Amino acid sequence: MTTEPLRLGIVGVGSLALRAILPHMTQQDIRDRAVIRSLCDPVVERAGAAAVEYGIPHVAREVDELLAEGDVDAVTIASPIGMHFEHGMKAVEAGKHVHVNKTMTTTVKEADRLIEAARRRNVRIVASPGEQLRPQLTRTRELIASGAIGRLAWAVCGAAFGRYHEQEEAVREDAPGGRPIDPSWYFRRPGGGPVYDMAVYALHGLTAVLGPAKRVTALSGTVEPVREFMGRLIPVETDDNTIMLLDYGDGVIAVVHGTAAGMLIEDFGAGQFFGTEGSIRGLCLNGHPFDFPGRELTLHAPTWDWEAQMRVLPHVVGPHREIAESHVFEDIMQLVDWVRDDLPSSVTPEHARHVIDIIESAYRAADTGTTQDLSTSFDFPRPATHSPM
Amino acid sequence: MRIGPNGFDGRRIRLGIIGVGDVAHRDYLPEIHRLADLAEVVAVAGRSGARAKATAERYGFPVWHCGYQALLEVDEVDAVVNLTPWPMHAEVVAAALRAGKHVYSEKPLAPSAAEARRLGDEAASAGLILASAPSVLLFPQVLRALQAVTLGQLGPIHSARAWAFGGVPPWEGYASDPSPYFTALSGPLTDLAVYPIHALTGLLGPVTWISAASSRTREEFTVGDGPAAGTRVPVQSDDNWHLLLRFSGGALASVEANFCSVGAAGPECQLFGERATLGFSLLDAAAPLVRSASDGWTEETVPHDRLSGPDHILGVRHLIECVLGRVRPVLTADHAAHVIDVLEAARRSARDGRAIEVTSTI
Repeated sequence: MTTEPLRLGIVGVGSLALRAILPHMTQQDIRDRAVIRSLCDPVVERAGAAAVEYGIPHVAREVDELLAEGDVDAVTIASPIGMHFEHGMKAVEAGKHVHVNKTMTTTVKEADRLIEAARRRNVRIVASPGEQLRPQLTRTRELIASGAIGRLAWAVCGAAFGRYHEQEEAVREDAPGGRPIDPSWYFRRPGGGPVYDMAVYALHGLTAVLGPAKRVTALSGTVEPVREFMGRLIPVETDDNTIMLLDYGDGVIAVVHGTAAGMLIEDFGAGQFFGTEGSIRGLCLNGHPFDFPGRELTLHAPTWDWEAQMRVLPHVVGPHREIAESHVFEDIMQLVDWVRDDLPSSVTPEHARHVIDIIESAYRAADTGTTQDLSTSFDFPRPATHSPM
Repeated sequence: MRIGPNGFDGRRIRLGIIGVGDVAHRDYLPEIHRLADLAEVVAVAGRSGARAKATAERYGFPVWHCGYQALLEVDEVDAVVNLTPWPMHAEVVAAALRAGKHVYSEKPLAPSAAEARRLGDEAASAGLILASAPSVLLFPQVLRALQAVTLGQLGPIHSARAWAFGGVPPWEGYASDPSPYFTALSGPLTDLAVYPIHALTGLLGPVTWISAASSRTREEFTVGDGPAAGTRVPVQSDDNWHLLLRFSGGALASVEANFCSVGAAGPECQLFGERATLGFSLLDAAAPLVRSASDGWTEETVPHDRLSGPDHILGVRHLIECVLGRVRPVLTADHAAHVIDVLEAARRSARDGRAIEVTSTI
């Protein structure tokens, strides 16, 4: 316990830091709990311009520099997914607590090493996305457990998004410091592709409702070999199109889509669950809206209205309801509470590792044509009677 | 008088209907009047003479027969509509072709892809048209989707999903013992997955690889209501199927087919293109297509002749138009055989836990 605000550094001043982390973490209402002390990005002029705009005292080009001189207790890692492991390990070895944006690492082996290092150094890791914090999903889990849809048979979830990273002109082309934010890593290995970037939300949500899966098979490939950003061609090295089947045992099978095209119809991104006696689609049980703590805060928005759905998260109050990607803010505050107040978070690296196992094993299944057993698991206690608010 | 192809110099095609069970009365006979400009039903046959007679009287068909052989001996029958239970399909089709009749058959055309192809070859060498259900590719909303794909309105299609389920047979209105749906060779893969697979292969081309998973959610059940209430039904095949398909053009799709879950999963077919998503029903001709736009979703209802539900009679009309030489056959034995190949590969994939290559084309 401490009365001082937690001192944070941001690793990677890209679209997420600019659009969400900096606006959220510099609000007055959390100044006594957390404060941003350092920004780090290889495009140092962007980090510098953002530091001036938000009044951040320190700027670094390299992570080592931030860790050595940034005067921070913890970092939030917002670099490209393929660099999360390297940056996370450096921070942990420097004795810093870590929040990692999704996806924590790209392999189970990396996740193991990161978790082990954090244990050894006695620092905390919170790994986004903390889908299990959402009372919508807790209620979905409770409904299924109570037999509201009979015996669960299957589920479907996923993500479909067109050229969104190439077309985020506002945040990318007019970035502070003058240099556009290059999205080409989304299509490079490791860490690129719509599964690590987008379907990871659906996988965290699915596993928050159903727990750890047992086996996975998948088909995967690349439909568009080249993408374009500001007139420059980006060769696509990653699969841009993946569908997987998860075997949960007991006859339960889940279908997960991750495609960088189109957009989702209705709400299967939020997960649909089908049983012998009924179904849960979005936030409806058999076609009728079900209640959950805080539902009125979502303004009864549809499930695809992501920002509205996140208003129910415990830390998302006041100004944070109007700032983009408040789920990222929530996850950072989970780490802040854990470190400052010793309140353990359920947004664990072990849960993230299981999702990483699913993704890595799905790609291996697609490469080898053979269904893969999953080797990881995570704590999945019975749902609490009362959802924490 | 204009002399048409195949000797039909302007007169109507004379149809014989074989099979007067659930699907005949549910989907075909109530719509048969829409064929009056091109065809007339001259005879009907059923395993039960009484049922055939009742059907003939109800719809005003002049002749009824007990058993299909008698109907096939009638010279005046130009073409046969085969609506028998699925284990009889191949036998009836083969006999009809030998009798020199053009044939429309309910699905599946045959229990194996090889047999379906053999029937196709027999039809071709006899100069006869063989059209196989499902006619989903002729449904107006699916034709509209095909047009959108062909014109590139969605951009290249990356992935798709399609599904077919609606609870546990017997469905409402089904009068018989549902046990045939649950035999070792039947199940939702045979009975339901054919619709989404026909639609997707028609829209995206042949399947090249498949990965599948299946499960059995119950070992038996007792029919709760309807005429078969109280019947104990053993579940001898998996009732929960999930297929991943890769198509020749590189697109991927998931297909869900089951006899174990209720509810709906949105539009039954959803195409995710680079530029837009398109969703549409594979079942209900009256359901609008939904398409993503920059500012939300647009809906489009296409003209449809059946008020609602699946418009299977379009398959019979297609047979007639093929016989008249007006259109190129779409519901081919080749396509049906490819779909059966996909179903067989799905069984192997689910059993062995590995992806299976499908080498046949359409």
